[in-house]
Amino acid sequence: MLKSQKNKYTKEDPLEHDEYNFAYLDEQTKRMIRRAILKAIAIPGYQVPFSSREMPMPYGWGTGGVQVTASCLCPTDTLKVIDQGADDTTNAVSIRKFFEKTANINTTDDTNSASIIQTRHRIPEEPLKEGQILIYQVPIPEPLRFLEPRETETRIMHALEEYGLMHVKLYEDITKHGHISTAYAYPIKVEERYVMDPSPIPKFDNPKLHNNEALQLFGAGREQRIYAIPPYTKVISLDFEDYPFEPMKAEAICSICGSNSSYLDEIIINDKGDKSYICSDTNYCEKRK
Amino acid sequence: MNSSNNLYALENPEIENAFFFRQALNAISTPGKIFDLSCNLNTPNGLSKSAGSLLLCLCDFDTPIFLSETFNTDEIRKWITFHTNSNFTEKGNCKFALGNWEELLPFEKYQLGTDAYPDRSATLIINYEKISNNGTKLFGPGIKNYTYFNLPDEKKFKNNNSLFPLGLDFFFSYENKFAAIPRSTRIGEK
Repeated sequence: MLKSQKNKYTKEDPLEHDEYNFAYLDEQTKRMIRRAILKAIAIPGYQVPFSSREMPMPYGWGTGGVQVTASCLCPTDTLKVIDQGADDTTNAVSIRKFFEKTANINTTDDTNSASIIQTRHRIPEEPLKEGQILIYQVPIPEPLRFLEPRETETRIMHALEEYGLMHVKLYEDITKHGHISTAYAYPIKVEERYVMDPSPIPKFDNPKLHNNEALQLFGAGREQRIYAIPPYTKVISLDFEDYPFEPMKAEAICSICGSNSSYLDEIIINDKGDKSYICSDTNYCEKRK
Repeated sequence: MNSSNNLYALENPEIENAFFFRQALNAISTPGKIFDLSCNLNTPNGLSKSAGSLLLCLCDFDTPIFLSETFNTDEIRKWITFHTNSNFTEKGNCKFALGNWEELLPFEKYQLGTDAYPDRSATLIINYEKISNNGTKLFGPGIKNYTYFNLPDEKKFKNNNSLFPLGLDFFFSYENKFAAIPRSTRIGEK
């Protein structure tokens, strides 16, 4: 009999299994990640280096988020995984299955009943509540990386709170396009100290980062960084007095549920290039139908 | 607290440590809030269950521990070594420190982190009988509006917060109870 067929790991007795350690990672790795998470929460917005492990999925598929989730999971958790707001896309489905198999936890599509939500590039439309944890998958954690490629330099810039370069970048946006054209991964400042990359969420989601009731954790696997925004934390999106930050979405309504306030995905519906718009948050849309 | 001859502190370490960590995570993301640890954990004489749970889910061979005089007993040292494989060291080198309030002072002796790496700082686990939600007013990340906590010495914590992003992070533990005050918490009137 193949080992995978002999699954003693049932919902009735979550401890009786012999295939994986709970939530895949070994205990020493979890402790190392757990220490990094606690320091990340104590220093909101600061990127804590951690020794990222190789995961059974490629970089760019959420290995950072998966490691943070694995280190926070308890058997009593209900996990939701979204990719660009959708519960049913490849990345979301495979990560959900990964934790069903290795941690035997319950999963859900419902934002409200999830205790941990792992996300790629969106914050759910439904407001999060106290006790929930939102875990972001992060490709490039360093907001200054495209302006200054050297880690030694960006580290000094963070230490000295030297963020003038970021404002220059936003200013150049205005000189080229007449407005701040950065539409996603829009830089934020956390608790008036660290400039942080909120991962490539649309800037439409940026206001939800501020004073959120849920704990927000960010994991970058390839880049080996963990950072955090605790609940009820002040988060501002960088801007100028005369060019204030403006969240942005398509000027349309969802063609499935009719929402005019949610973030929309554009879909091409025929060969003539006609467009239709649907909610990017599938669970939100489903509930409104 | 159990004086235990039981070899194992936990029945299913991977599960219990997950719950212990989740409590620690909740504590540090809601500073000042008091948590109750309800579980079976065999700790040696003098070591509270809550402090024991923190050591088990966070410490290993990478985290030298400082034990203050009261806690530097054979029994506690053996328990920590057996379960975590941590080394023991002085205040200046430790990642975690465990002790009574007066014995852990002064804060200046510990690693406070560096400007480039503020995370390289010590976490103090203070054995503190008077954990309660009255006394000093607290503000900051993780706290909705404000909360109160009975700090042993307001001024020292205020000073620690003023070093932000450097500084120490604290857990207060007594028997089953524990609470956390990270360096980001602002102390006193707004």
